[in-house]
Amino acid sequence: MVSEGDELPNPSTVVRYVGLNQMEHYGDNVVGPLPTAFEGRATDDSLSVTWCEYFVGHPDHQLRCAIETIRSSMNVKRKACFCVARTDDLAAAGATFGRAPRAVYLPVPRNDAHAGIYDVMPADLEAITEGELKLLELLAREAWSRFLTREMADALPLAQCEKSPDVS
Amino acid sequence: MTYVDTGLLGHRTQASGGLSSFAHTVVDGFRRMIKIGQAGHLVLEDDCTRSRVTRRERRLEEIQRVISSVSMHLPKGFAVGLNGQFANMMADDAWEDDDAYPSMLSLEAFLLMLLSTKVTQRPGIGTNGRGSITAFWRDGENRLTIDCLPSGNTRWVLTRVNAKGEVERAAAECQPDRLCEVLNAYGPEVWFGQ
Repeated sequence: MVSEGDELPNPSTVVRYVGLNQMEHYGDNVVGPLPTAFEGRATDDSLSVTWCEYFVGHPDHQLRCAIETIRSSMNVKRKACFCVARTDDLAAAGATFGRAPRAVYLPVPRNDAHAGIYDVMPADLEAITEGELKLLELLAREAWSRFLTREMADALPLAQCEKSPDVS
Repeated sequence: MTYVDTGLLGHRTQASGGLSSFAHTVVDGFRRMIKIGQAGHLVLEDDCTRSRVTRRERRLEEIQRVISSVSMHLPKGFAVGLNGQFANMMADDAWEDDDAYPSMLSLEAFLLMLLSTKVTQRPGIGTNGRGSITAFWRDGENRLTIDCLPSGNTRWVLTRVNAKGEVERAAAECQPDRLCEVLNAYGPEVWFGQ
């Protein structure tokens, strides 16, 4: 049973909303996320994500539910994307640079499936180190390389989006 | 409407050499075009106070005007292409409401970066959401990302597959006029063109 403040089971799948201007794109051809997509915000101490396995069902249903939850909780732009990662891949990328990323269940208003990834953001966004830049590049190219455009997300099967019995 | 990228562009119209004075010419151009108000805000000398123009649209106009003012120093067609890219970047369907607008110092770093690296291939552009302009290029598995910061510096990171097929990653922060020198070890022509 996972409660607020607990680490997510490993591996879990998480989704992050990424605006078009933090996606590598050439015209309308989107290639993948840029390192800047995972710098986070200065006001946050963890990288904001939505946890797919909060919902019951097939992985595609869970992903669609996570995306619909993001859509209902914030102003989602038409050209924005949803990047997908597994927590074990995040941990492996972090370990390459001496970090120990961990995903923690942190529900917030309008997003009961919200989670935060700790020990993955740069310590100081105004003075990002060489190692942190390389980690962000590795995260973008490998751990977070799967992404969905609006059209790809809309093509996922719709579901009831019921909370998993494993979440308190 | 989305501006369509035209890809490879023409040759530099300015003879190479004398980069430092060349860059200074551009900076001087900025200074003629722009002056800092007492409150520290950048204002255009021209009066462009109009109703129904949003702050985002106003900033886009400022950016496009500066780019156009230095178009003669850029490869043929660059300025028109960049202006279209900035319009797309700051369009309603792409711009995130919480993001800070690209700062004019970031723009200056961006243009100096283009000049110092002698690029002939226009980059994709984005922002880190804190006032930067992010430029990026890709050639297969080789990717270069340069974030032009409101401080006037650039922060770059690259992935490059070397002649042995090994993946190398490098990153640093430096002044835009140092980029040509520091990137030289990684065969930047795959991104910048000849």
